[in-house]
Amino acid sequence: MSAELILEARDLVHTYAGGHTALRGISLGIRPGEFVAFVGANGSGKTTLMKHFNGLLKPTQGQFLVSGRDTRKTTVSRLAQTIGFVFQNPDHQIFCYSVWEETLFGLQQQKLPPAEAQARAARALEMVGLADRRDRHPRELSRGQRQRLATASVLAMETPVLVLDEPTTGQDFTARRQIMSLAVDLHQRGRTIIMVTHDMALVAEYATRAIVLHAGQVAQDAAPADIFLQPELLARTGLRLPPLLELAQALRAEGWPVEGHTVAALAQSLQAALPAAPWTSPGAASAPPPSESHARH
Amino acid sequence: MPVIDIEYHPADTPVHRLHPFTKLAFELAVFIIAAVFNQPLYLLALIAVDLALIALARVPLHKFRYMRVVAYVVLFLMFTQAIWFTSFGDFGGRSDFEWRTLFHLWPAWAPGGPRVPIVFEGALYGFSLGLRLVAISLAFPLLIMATHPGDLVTALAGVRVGRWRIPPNLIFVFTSALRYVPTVSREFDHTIDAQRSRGVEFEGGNIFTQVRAAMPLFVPVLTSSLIRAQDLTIALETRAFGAVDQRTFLREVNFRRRDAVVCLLLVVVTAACVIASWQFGYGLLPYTPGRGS
Repeated sequence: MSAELILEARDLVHTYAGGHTALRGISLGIRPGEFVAFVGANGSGKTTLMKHFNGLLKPTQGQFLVSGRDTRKTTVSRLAQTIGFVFQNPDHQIFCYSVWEETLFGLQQQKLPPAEAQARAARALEMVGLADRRDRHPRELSRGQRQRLATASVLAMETPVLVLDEPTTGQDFTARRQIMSLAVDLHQRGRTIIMVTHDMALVAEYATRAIVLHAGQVAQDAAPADIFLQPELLARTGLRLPPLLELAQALRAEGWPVEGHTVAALAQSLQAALPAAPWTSPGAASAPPPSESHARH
Repeated sequence: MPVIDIEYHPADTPVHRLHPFTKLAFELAVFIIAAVFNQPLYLLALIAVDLALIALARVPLHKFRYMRVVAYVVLFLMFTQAIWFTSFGDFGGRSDFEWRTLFHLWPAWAPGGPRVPIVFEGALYGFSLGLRLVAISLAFPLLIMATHPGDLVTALAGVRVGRWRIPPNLIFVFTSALRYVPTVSREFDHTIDAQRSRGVEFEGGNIFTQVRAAMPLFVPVLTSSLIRAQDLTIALETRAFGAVDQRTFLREVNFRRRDAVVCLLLVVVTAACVIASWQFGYGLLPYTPGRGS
């Protein structure tokens, strides 16, 4: 079974040097091609777990396997060929004099032939929409563009797994859409996408699987739709439904047949319900919506 | 958690209650005592005093993780002194001293061997040099960890020589530099993580790859430090930093009687150590050059 898992944690425990235990026995497996979201409040162990994915942290107990290889016996630079890690703050990694060099850097570390490296870097810049800025100094870019540059420099490595740490924090609506459609695109081409986020709307919209972490343990591991149906779980783990889903839930409680958890699905089910809405049937302005609870009024 | 985690550690202990300058005097005393002795046992006793004070101040030991780096320096000193110590020449007129060779770096079976002896006395001398460093680097952070930053500012602002005072800007630079040590250390950690994720090897390799690995590490840290400094300036100006010459302070620090007692004790002990070493040759390795009789 473990052969087909690309990432696997076995009873993973991590205790920091200060004595704080951030992960208390995590077991999970991620198969190639999944789009997994890790959610949880601050201090739930998300970041600590992420850092095990490419061996930045090693388990203090238990094991973490990447394509069946124990991370304790593999160097981070080897694991970097499997796991691409996009950090939250691009300024922690950008150091080159131009966008182009920055994108090439990771490939040079892997000693790829120059032609191949340049082709990959060009593709990556194209994907994030920075192809026209390849000769600029990274400091001339805006924060959002630097984030995309950091993403490109990891994309260029063309790793089968991509880890996005808080990909949309501090991004405006357009940039957020761009980043996520890029993630979706890569996912469709067969990459495994893992994202860490507080943003439940992002989870609802994009992830095929959501893993809720709470106090260093897996509180729930299910499809996002199932997780959204468990208000007590969300309350316990300090998470909140995306506003849109809250609205949908309120509508459902009023008897509206609103189904689904993505914007598209919600819109569609609302549209289907619309003929029954009071404002669409002329002459029946006071007709109640199709609901017993509402009919009591 | 950052490697260099030297930050104010709030607690209510006898060490915390002392005046900042008393703690400074302690550090000075450790510095002098560590310099006058070079016999490992004496230095180990000094380190024990450091540790006792750290325990008294209830600073958790994991805050001293940076001592791992110092441990490497100790090993380095032992190794280099073991090789070169005997080539220094002047050993207090005792050229007849019998060196004990542990082994040869260039073994006997190799062509031209045995050469490059590893001398026990040299390694011991290197060890004692290392212990000096340990004693000092354990004592130094105590001032910062056991003193509220505000107290330090107030104490420094109280320094007066005639009509001269330490300029407030200078005090601010000093205290904010201390304040940013853990922040920059954390920044280093994040940068190391980010670059390792891109396949940079920071461990191993020869000196040239090491130097090259420094570029992706130092450039991001330096740039973000500069940006942070810029932000800090703006934040200060919006809060009218330096608008008035005469500053007042919320916190009071007083040099109390117990501070006087501790300082006196420190002076006496330090003087005793200096005399014991210089006059009577206590705490010195017998073969060390230039000191004792």
